[in-house]
Amino acid sequence: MQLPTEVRQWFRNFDGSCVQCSVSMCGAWCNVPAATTLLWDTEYGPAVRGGSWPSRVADYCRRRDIKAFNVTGSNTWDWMEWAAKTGRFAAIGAGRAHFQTEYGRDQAAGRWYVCNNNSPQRIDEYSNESFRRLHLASGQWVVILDGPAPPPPPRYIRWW
Amino acid sequence: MKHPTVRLLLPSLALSLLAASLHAQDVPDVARDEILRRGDFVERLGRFQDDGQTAIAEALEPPADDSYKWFISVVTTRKCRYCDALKHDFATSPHLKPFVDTSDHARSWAHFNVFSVEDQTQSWRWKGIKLGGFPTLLVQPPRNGRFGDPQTVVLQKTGYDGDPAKLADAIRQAIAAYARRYAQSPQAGVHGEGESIGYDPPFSPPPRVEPAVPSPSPYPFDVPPAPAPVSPTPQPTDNALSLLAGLVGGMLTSGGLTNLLLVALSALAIIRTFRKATGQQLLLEDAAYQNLIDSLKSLLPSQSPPPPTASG
Repeated sequence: MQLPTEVRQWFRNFDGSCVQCSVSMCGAWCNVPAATTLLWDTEYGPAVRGGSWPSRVADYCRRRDIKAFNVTGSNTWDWMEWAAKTGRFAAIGAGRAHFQTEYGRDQAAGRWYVCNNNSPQRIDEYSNESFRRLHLASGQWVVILDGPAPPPPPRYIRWW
Repeated sequence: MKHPTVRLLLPSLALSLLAASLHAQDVPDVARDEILRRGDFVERLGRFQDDGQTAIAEALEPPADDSYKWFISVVTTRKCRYCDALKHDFATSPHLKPFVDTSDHARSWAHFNVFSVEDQTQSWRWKGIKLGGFPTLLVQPPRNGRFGDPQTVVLQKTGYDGDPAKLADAIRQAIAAYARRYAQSPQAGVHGEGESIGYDPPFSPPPRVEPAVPSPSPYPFDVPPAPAPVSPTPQPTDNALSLLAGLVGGMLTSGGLTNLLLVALSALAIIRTFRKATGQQLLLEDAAYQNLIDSLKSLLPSQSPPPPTASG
């Protein structure tokens, strides 16, 4: 999974909107405009800024007709695994009082890739254990868009 | 199955919302409290509003792994009736339903995505290919790598002629060809380590002009085609060269050769008669002249009807 740096920069967190920044980045990857545009006033709805919690996310997803899984509790690990395996981003609790975007996983190498909306120009890499600590620091809550997985950027590879 | 946490959760949610407004943190402490109160809880949003349900906690487990699904994508543009026709047929045609279920992505054989080329949030996605017209349909292998690099363009089809059966056939054939090729040499280019080959696809280039979609007839019956207007018969152009060519051509046919011989015989007879009448010396004696005439006559085709043949 790869989102160009210039696109990730759109979702930099300036004002304590980390949950919306993370969900918006998921929207850009998954081609869900109503989610991609959360941070701004658009035809999909007014900008949603500031801190969030599960019921607030549920509320604005309903208003914007964003289909999503809003998951809390001990099972978030399975959901994050599922998201990475099936080619979806996930907005996840990551760090104290913070949300980031789960960007991918290399299962064989035991590595997780995360984009922090405070530094979207880079992708942070975590071991299984450090990723676990990162997620637990915020509380087990993830938001995953509910829709078909997007295609990876196509390219011509000679097969014929 | 409704999770018991839901019943306990709702009254406390209002309090936590109120408290949350007082915080400026990205994920305020009240969020942490709410996470703990919700416990193991999955809320599926955006699908069950119609029946009044606001929370569904029946599935704590993630959905099934769908990384085995192929990708079928459509890139559209604004005010494009061919794009609308294609999207409509994907939603309704029984020929395309086996590939795509637009009403429930979980039941769809392929991941189906529709993109707008004007959407700047998605323009990065098309950097590796050349979009030559709209709609453009793309088929890619599954993400799980079972059929090689999922970025591979298995089929790129530009335009839509309104025939869903033909499109289904094109998709089927492309996937079959790719899968066959992959099965033959999984270590070759289709395995994900393949060479990237620039911008010239192995398929027919897109038409510069959109193919016409047959518009629905305003009549409840088929209207027969109007008779074609009668065009005036073309007139030959006369000139000396064409007349001479025609004469020579005519002479070389079998009928033309006969005419030529008759003319030659007549000319010889006229010359001989003229020279006899004027007392000039004849070029040939009578016997030689008769031999020449007989020889020329033998070259003429017989005009008599063919002899009857016996039958039975």
